[in-house]
Amino acid sequence: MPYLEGLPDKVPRIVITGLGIEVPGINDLAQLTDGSVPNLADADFNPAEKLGRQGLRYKDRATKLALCSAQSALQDASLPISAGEQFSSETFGVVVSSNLGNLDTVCKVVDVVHNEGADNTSPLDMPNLSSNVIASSLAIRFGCKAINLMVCNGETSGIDALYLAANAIRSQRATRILVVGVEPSNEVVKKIMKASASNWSSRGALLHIGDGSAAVVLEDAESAAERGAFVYAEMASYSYRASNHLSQTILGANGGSDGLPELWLTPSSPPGPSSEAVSEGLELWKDTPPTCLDLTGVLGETYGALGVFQCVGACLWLRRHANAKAIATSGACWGEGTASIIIRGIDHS
Amino acid sequence: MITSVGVTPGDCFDAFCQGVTGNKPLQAFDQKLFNITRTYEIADRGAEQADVTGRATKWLCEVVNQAVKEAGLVPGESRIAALIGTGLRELRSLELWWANGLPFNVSELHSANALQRTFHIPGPIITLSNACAASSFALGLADDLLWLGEADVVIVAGSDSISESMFGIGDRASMLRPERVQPFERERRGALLGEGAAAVVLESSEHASRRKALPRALLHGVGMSCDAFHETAPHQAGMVRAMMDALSRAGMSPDYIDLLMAHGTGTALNDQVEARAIREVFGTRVGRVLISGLKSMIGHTSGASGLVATVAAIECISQGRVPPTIGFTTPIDEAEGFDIVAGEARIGPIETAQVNAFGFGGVNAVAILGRST
Repeated sequence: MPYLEGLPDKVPRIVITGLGIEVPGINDLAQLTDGSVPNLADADFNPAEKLGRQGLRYKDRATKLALCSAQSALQDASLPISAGEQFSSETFGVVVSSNLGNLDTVCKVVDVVHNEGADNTSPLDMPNLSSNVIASSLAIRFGCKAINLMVCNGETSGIDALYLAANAIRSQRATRILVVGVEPSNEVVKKIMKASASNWSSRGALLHIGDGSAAVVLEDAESAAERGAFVYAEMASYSYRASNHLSQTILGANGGSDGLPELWLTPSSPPGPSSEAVSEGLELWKDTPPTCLDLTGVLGETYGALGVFQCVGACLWLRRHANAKAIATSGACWGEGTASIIIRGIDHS
Repeated sequence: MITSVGVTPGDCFDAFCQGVTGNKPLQAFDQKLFNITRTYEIADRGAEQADVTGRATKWLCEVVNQAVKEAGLVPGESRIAALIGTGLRELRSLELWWANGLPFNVSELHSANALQRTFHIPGPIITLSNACAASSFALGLADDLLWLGEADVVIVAGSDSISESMFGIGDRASMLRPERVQPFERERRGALLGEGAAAVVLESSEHASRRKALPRALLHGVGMSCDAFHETAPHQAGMVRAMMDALSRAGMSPDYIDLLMAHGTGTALNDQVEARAIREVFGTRVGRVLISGLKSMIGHTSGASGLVATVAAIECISQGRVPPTIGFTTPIDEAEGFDIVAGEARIGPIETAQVNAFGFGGVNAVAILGRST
């Protein structure tokens, strides 16, 4: 029986050792940050090409997107993708952020119940009714037996997931965690998002609902060093505020005395209400504004997945800017609440 | 705590000890569409019985209010965060929006905004949807937040209402058409959903004594694991790992456990696998642990069930009585020799209690609580 050791005197550092995305229409990770705007409309999604056919038949779209991005991140981190061969399975955890993943199954099943009665529902839909099906499917596929969390916390979910994953490693619940953000696009998702957007914008109909998944591998820095893993960046502090004032969460995460980050991954921009909030946040930097990266321009509205996409974007940028610091911020658009997390570059020289 | 048998922790626990059942005829949905006709609903829909949105969120705010009042927590005094565990979120409200056209916003799927309006929480409010173990995972992560110094106080809450889609699929999958939940009973016929909510205020003992708050109980530790085995079926090895992790974090051997609040869903598979896992962990001492199955009275309250059982366990420790598992007469083979409290409440001192919570996807969280010294 693997008893965990007593809690450490020193809290471990957390590093990022693998990146992956799955966005139909984007073939290369670099497209996320290189300024190109790929045409994502009507792009095909063929998960079997990456994952093989086995075990995919009854998975919902969100789960398939998540499995694809996670596999890419594991490969990028030089970790096995087969459950049986997984590296220290019992201390490998999963944290997923998604809000919209199973809404289509819920609405489909309730339609069947109303139109044909419960006898005509399919038990095969049962796993997909459970909001955590994505997190458990990842654990089964890749052999991750430690902590397994499904974060459903609205638009800050991605940032929150990174924070909870880092905390889980700090608290010795895992040495390594696969963090995945995913939101699918389908008829139910489009309908609820547009209905909700119309509360704040008559331009809700213009919203492009994103469809994709991002994944990162977080590790205890010592474990990563032991296995000789390449380190993209280090996870640092987090801050959440109930208000839409982005400057508060930025300062909360950054701390008062430290210099402000060189890269700011901003929350989703127009037509959402967060564009004013972004302007307010930028005032913090005064005359030396940061490089701003708004992934919504590439991906559309990715809601609870955004924070993990932002983490991937930050790592790609930090590879070219050693010793720099990035901050990712989500929120201020769909509900009250904003969250930020600091990601630090690594000097590889 | 709010369940189908009471609207305060005191009411609920008295009802549990008296063996009161919350089992009642299905009210939420059109009975003609289903074979199963019983649930453990909270009867709060009003005289006309029309379903309304936001019930789980409403209970969540109510139980947080109860806990905050009892703790004497003052907003602004401490760095307060909140962790919420729920299995079915506000998916019932989504269904009412989709099928009945009731107003609903995507941000209402989780209850953070409503909770924020009820009680100002300056720190993060994070919602986890870890199936039927959600609120116990929230309790464990709250413990971590305190240990890491990320917050002074964490409000932990769980709440779940019954969704029509889950009830419908459960109906389709339950061939034996259960009329009540009978954990570990040989003649059990399956699980029935219930509704409920519970909350606790968690803080370090130093912080509690600084603000002169009286602790109700000690949280010794919360263990977690994932089976990585099957999307819906339970797995003994994963359950055992979560229990051993909890004991390890608590710095205890199984000998210390006086009471086990079992997950006990009354399904064929859960009860067999959980009983085997309990036997593996407790070994020859298994007969010396009192075991109670609350779901026999309040049904399966999904993601709230772990925290409902946690609040009940705290009452067991402070009152020295343990609720019976109603409808239990003959154990399944796997539970032979277990001391399952049945018939009436058992009176006697309880120092340390373990609470099991296992969810779909093989997510396991086990909490160990004790008397505050």
